[in-house]
Amino acid sequence: MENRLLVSSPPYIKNGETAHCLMFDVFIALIPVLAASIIFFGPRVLWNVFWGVSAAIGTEALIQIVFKVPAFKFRTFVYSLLTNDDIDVLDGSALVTGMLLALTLPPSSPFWMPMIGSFIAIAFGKQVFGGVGYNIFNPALIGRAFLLAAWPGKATAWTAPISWEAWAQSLSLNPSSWIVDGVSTATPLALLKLQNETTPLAELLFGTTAGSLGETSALAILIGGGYLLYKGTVTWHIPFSYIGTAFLLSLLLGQDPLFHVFAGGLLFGAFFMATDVVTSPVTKLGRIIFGSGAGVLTIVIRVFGGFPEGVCYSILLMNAVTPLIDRYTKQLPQSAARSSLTGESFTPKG
Amino acid sequence: MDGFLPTFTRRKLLPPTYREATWDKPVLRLGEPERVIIPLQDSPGTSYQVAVKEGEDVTAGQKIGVMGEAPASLSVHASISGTVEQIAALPHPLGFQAISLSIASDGKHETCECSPLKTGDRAGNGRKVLEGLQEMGIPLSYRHLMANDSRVSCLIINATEFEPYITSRHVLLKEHGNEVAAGLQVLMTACSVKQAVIVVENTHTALVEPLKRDGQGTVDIRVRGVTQPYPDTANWLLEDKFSPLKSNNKHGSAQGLMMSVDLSSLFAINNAWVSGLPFTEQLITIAGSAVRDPQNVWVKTGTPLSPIITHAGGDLSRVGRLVLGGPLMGIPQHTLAVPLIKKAKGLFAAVAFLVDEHRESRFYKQAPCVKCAKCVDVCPASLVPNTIADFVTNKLLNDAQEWGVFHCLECGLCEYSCPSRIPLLEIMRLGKVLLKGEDCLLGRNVFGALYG
Ligand code: SF4
Ligand code: SF4
Repeated sequence: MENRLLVSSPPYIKNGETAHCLMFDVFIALIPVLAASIIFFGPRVLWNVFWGVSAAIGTEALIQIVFKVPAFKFRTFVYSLLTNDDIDVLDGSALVTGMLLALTLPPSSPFWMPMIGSFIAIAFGKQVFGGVGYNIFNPALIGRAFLLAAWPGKATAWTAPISWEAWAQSLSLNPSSWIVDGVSTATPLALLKLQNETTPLAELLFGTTAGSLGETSALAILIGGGYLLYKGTVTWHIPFSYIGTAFLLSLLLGQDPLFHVFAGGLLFGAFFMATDVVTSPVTKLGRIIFGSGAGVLTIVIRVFGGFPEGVCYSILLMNAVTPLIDRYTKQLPQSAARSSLTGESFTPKG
Repeated sequence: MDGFLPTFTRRKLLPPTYREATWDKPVLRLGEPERVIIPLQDSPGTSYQVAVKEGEDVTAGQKIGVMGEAPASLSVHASISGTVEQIAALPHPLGFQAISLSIASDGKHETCECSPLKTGDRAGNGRKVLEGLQEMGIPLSYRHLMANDSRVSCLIINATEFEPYITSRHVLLKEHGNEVAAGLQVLMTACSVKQAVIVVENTHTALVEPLKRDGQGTVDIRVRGVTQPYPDTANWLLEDKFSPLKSNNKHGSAQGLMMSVDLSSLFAINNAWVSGLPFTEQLITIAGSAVRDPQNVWVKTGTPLSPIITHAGGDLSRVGRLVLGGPLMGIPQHTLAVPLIKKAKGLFAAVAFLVDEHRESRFYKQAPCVKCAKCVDVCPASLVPNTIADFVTNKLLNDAQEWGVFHCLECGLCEYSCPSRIPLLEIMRLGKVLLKGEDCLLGRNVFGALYG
């Protein structure tokens, strides 16, 4: 009896990678950013991030249990969650969404803000479209845009980085001292817009300015972004075209280009938000158009618009046109003009 | 959990070449098999003629039939001496029942008298030489050569080794570079072509030195180094990228045809030219987890696959998957009884486990496309595989065609690199088959002897 051979379509080798790797790479790249914000804004950052992440994962699990798995066994909750094929909450995308969302909020935001934001992000930014891979907009930015519209005061209550004494105090055992509120102040971009006051570049680079948790320290973001680029998780196209366009346009408009690049959320957006794999174009030219478009919109909103900051909306707007960009930048080799498009020339019989 | 836990090493989109296992080993010659099976058909329905009868004795190198129709026909030769056992429909590696001759060896190693092409009365006449090569059973695209003789003005030779594990092409160059170069000269003279382009990896340009050296003088042979190997199916792509014909006029319409030639064919041409031996022996790599001793070996055309595997230290009962060609674009085999065909460069035998779907780690199951663009970055034909796959799975075939499904080289790199484990290559092929039928599958045709 001859042994049976397995027949399937090639290829027969595979790089052992799964989509989880992409998500966990982003998670690793966010660690320096998180560390920097803990240093500047105190340990309560962790508290906010914790609630953002738990709400994101919880929402995703809940929605998938309710809508995808009718026969979910609640008695063995953890086991079912871990082994059910239809639940992909552990793929890390909810984790990254929750973390990104929490990092775009001001340091003084109460813990329920990242929770609600994560809920909106996962439920209305991702799951309504069909889950991971099908969403049109970056979920974290949806959550943030919602918070900005619902609680404009709380979502823009910026505080300055806390002092070292306050940091040390917050480590004490007394729970009431855990939450340290910094002195409220305006972000560098708001200072520029409202009071025409610029912030020194070194402060922007290092991160000792007011702003969202994740966006203040340019250095930490560059470390994380460098990791993503080195690892090959993102390609250079989006971040570089984004930053480059913003740089050139602000130069053209007579603004200080370096200030615009390092202030606000531009670097954070360019490396972590715009490069979100699901919502950015797939073609190389498309990625460059996407980055440049976001760069233009960001500077236009910053310089001419009513908001001091435009990163969030610029990326969301470009997300909306991503399918269109993909459609018009599809790469077709030149010989399309030849008969190969019809497939005729490939018939072997003479 | 491989691939699940993050690592800090750089992500590689292209597979490693694994060439160490076979590259340095001495090249052996497989002993004469008990029986060879020589197909007379190339795809279902190819016409053929048989020149021998059942029970007749044949010698090695004797012409036993013709495959295809003139002018694009190809003679078929016995690769061992022995008795024709049967002429019947037997399994062909391309997955159909082909009329084949099976010849049982008589162990006498008799070779037929053959006269070198060099000395025959044909030598001066290019067209006659080509007919001679056809008689010798060397697969070239005779359709082009015979019908549009004058339009073929450039040869393109893909000397890159695309398939991981397979090294036969480079080993052939390493061991027999001069013979290959001589074969190239013969072919270029025969079809009065003045230009040739050799595409080779930057790291292995030394291998093609002999080819270039001979070319100095009357003909123009250029070597183009590339960073990434090209698959065998990449004819139109190589033509687009490396055509010296096109650079002459800016508007891109090529002024002549390019014809691609295989290195193994060039080697066979030299044999036919110098000693009159027909194409009955070929160099293949045998590799994979089921063989203990992966290596390059000279094998008689038509040898069934089982003796080759045993030769390389494989246990036949443990082979779970057998692929003619390499692991990226090879043709899967369902039985060990199929013979080796002329265009095959390698044999990939792997121990495979029949994996129960539910036992598999759930991280390895197919997930929705996350549009990570890995497939786009890696595609040598610059297509957008994920979108084409979307179109095909949703039966939007016209859109798939518009997005260039027929430009797909069926190289398998997109599927190799996809983190969502989407069977992209399978979907691409499905799209082609749904649109034009199975005849347009490049990955299969490239193994056909008559395809050019
Ligand atoms: S098909 Fe695979 S490789 Fe291509 S974009 Fe989708 S997930 Fe990425
Ligand atoms: S679509 Fe995939 S199989 Fe086709 S040429 Fe591109 S990478 Fe290769």
